[in-house]
Amino acid sequence: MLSTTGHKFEFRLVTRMRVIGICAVFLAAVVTAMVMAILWGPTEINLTQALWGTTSPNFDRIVLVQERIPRVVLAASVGASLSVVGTAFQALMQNPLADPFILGTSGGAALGATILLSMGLSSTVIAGVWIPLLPFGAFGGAVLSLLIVYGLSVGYGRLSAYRILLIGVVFNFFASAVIMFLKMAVQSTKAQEMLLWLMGSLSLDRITWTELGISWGITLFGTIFLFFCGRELNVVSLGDEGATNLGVDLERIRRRIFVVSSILVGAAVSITGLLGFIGLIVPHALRLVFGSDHRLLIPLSALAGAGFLVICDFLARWMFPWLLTEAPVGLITAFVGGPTFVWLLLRDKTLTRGSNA
Amino acid sequence: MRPAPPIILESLKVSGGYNAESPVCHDIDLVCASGDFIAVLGPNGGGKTTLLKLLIGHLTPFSGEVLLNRVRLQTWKKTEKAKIIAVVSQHSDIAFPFTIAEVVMLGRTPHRRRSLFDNAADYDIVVSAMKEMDVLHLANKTFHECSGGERKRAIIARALAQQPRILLLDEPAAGLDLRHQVALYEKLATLSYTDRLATIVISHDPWLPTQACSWALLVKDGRIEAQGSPTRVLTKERLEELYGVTMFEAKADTPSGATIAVPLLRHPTERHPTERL
Repeated sequence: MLSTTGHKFEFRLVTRMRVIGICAVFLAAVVTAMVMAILWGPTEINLTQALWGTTSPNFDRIVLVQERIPRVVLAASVGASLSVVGTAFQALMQNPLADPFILGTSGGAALGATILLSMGLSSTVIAGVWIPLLPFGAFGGAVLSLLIVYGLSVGYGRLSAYRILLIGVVFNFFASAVIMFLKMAVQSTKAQEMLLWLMGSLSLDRITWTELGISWGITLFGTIFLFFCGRELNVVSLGDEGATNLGVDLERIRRRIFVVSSILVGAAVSITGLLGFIGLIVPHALRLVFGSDHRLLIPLSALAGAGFLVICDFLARWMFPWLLTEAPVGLITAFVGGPTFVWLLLRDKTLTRGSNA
Repeated sequence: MRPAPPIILESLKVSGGYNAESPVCHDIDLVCASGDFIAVLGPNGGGKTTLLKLLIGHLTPFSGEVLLNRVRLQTWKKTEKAKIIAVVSQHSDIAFPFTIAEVVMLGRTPHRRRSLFDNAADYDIVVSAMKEMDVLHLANKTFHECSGGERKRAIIARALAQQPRILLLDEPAAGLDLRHQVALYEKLATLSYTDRLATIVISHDPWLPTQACSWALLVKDGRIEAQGSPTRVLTKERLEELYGVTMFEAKADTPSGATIAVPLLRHPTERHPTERL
């Protein structure tokens, strides 16, 4: 612990107290946003009725427990996953334009999902139990694409940031070509279903608490894992030589982060589809305000991403009366995130004047 | 406090490069122990940086061995090696707008593997490294906002914050103004002399390194042309041969009255002796 009395610091350290302090403020904001998003919505709910009402069927309770809470809880976990992975991939690729979908994961997940959708296998009932197949298809696609991209990247010896990036991008192009083909080949109702999935949405007909639990478990594990990679992520920003000189085994750290991140993205997209933008702008916005230290950025990304997606989903639900259909939350993240991001970018004079970063 | 046991980095008949058919360095024999200050001098493209990469293990020698404390360098654990050897590369960039203080703090990484956060001891080490390299006033500026020379000094400060026993610098003075060049070499000479830091400096420009170093090594076409004490090695004839320029000897107006060879520019109006009819 540092005593801050009677000593003028030339710069700020990343101490345990500072990280905990900032995270606590963010956590409070996220919890507030979640509570707000649970209590308010286009459908009014009577909280007393929902909690203690005895009428049957209790519509307030159904809306609260089966609609609002799962949806908000899911939004928080998916938002956190995507932002954390965005931060980690940006550091790993040494490229501020990297996002969670850059390494072929999105293409793979989309391919897995569209193949199932085109075959009409989005869910099945085995022994009277309803089993959603789509998440498995998407997750399988994501993990498979990870293995392919990773395998090709290390195929010729060293794992280099450029090679992963290029192979990931090419893989995404290839996957989207296959998806286009599938879209053309199937009936228009199925094509519509695919399009909705690709846009990303949190409006799920049925989401089980098991799925929510798995999603949260993966998010928490991944975030904590990447948080403890904070020092290495900082060093990776120095580039291959610089990192090696500081004793960091770059290939090992890349491999670890790659695997954990892909599981995070796979789990996130398997439930919600491709929610773009969030994994790019949340890390960036945080970098502009809190600097580049990943020991602070990783936990903050998780919290800010969770809050951001909860709020975007809240807005998406409020747009229901106007559009008479639910706006895909992916659109809202882009609508809200884009201008906010530009504002942050212009506000920071040093950055716009500075270099490419 | 008992003095730390000496550290020794040696290369035995090392040949190496990027392509086994055409090695860049041939039969390099070199010993650098605590307190040594070696200047590796030679023209551009002579294999100096390749030699450095072999000495820090970025390249594996095709033949010969590099030993750190009598143990093959390739068998050292990366983190353990980084506690002993610090490197200042010729070019260093950083992908994100880290502040200068954060860049220097990265030097603590090999010593702080077990804990995620910075502590007061790190702060003191980083501040003193930044003072040494005169970058403390830049602490909160981002790396990208600083000039080339300021960045270079920050990178050297990072290497010092690493508290190494061996420090290797590749063209550390490039981009520094004369005041900071002189300050840098004085600092390096002090560290080597009082703190027994083993230092290897690579430079294409011999004037300042030779005044600071205790041992000079001339490298040309991947081979060691000569090595020894700087005054003996860096004669006028040898420098002329090494760099292919005309030199003349100047006696420094100092108490020691050392003689140094200085390059001589040919004035455009002056014709070279060989051009005469």
